[in-house]
Amino acid sequence: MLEFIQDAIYTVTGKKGVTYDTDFIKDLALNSFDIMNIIVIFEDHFDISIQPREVWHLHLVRDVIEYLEERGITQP
Amino acid sequence: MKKFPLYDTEYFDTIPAYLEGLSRKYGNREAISYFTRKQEKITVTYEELVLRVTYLKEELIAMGMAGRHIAIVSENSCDWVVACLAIMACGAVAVCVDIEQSDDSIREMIQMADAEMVFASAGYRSVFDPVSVDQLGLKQVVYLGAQREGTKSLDELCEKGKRRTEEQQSGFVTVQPDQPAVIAFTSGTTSKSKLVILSHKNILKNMCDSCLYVTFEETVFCSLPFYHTYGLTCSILGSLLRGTHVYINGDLKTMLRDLKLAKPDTMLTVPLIVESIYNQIWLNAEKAGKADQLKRLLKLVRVLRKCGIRMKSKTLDGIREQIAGNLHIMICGGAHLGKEISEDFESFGILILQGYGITECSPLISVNSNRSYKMGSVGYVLPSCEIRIVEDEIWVRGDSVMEGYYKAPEQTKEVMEDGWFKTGDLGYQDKDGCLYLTGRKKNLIVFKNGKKTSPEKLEELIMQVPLVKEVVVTGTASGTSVDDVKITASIYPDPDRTGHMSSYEILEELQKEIDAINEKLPTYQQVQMINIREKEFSKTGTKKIKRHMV
Repeated sequence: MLEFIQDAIYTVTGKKGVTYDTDFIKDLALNSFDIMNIIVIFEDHFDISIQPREVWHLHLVRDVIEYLEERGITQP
Repeated sequence: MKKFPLYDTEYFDTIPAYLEGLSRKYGNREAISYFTRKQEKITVTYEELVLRVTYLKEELIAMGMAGRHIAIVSENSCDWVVACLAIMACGAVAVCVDIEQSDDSIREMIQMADAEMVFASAGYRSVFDPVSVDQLGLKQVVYLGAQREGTKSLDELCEKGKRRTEEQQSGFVTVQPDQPAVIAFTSGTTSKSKLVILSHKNILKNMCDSCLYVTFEETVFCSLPFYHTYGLTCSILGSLLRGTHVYINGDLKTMLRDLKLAKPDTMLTVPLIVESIYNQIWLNAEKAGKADQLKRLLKLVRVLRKCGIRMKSKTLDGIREQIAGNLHIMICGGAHLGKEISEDFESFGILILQGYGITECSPLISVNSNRSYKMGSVGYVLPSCEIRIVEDEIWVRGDSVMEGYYKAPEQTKEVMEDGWFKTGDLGYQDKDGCLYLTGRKKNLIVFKNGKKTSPEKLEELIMQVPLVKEVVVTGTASGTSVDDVKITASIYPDPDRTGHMSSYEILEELQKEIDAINEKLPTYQQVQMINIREKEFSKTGTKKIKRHMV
């Protein structure tokens, strides 16, 4: 799953070196438009719908993995 | 003041007159299009749009809503536009609610504006549970889109209004130019938002004036939130006034997809989006190993332009077509955009016209014209606006300026003087009359997405943390954080409560509390850094913290 997230972030922002503890805002300086475009990649790939307000509290890469697991998604 | 030819426009002074004008001038022309989740294109013509507005207006009159306040809680949609126009046309006031807030904040905004009825989209059902509807004293919550059991829908009201019109039972209301049309929310320098009342004359004069300077091409892409006056007056209503075919988008998630599908030639936007498109161009060039080549080409175009030579480049045209299709004009406002980016976009064949506005002025104050523009400037002051520079601060007077804040005479008095509105923005005008912004007098944090927040609002939340004795929140343009502004909270911990704790323990505890606060805030407003102070902040004689010394 980490690799999938790394690819999504690279596609949208060109940023590399993402780990489980990477903070989207503090470490990667993503803006709200970047975040939305990454969400779109997740929605398309997993065929799910994610409301922007649901992701306000997801700061770290591991938070996203946990969020997906809660929705029953464990494999990319 | 430099003279340049103005474009033609017709002036209207009320929304009913504007609607009659749209129907008369543009009839069967395509007015609004949008794409569904499955990428199907839905289009309504000017005639259909005005008819739908008329039917809804009839039903609102029959419901006794003329003169009342009606809130809209929805992302951008065609029905948002229908609801807003019908509310204003029936003589009621459209309360344009900022939907990027928590459920509690949305309820608070509705309460502050004394709204008696709400139009909401399905995504905001959680805001209107039966207890909240009761507490807010709402007479009706009408849902946009498809009807669900037990709720009223906009379609249903339109259907009733249609029958009423066909049976010739139309209601009658007169709408005056000075009558309130809209209540918009703005971040003031206090912790609570201020409610700006704008009349029909305010918004229509502003909109019609802007048509003298700026022309759009045939298709316009509007993704700015309609609940902001920039999105409402300049973007959607202004595009319709020009008779253009407007593609609307209400979701940042589908913005790029819709932009590619719509292939607009004109777009109204904010620096955040312009910069994102710019970064995407460079990212693509880097991935293709052509970044150095592109840098050299742009440098050459810039040098030639300084010598008065316009260079056509197939490479640059190709880049534009790949990333932005037919786009040729971008109107950009809401925050600062770097001059270099505007110049590079011009080299790609996209003209960026920057403007400047503020909600209290409906909102546009100045804008560059397609016929005369200066990069780095926010353009020429609108004909119906007068400006004065008082100790570097921009003051505005004219038909677009609000009468005042809703139920806040003291706050109104603070910003108005002899009909002049004190913007709190600092700037100057050059010999040609072009306006330049140099900074802000007020303590507002301005994000690249055009949104603003007052540090006091965040400070009030942080002060509720028991460990905090004093706090000052600042926003610094950093280029390395969300929407290019890093929000930092400088905290002086309460020595009585933290005496036994190490600095590390205090920081850890504060971080937990700030994380909890952040969870309730939109991403761009979240506090990203905490600084702990060992000393109290310096204060003025009245015990106010000296912000400029932080």
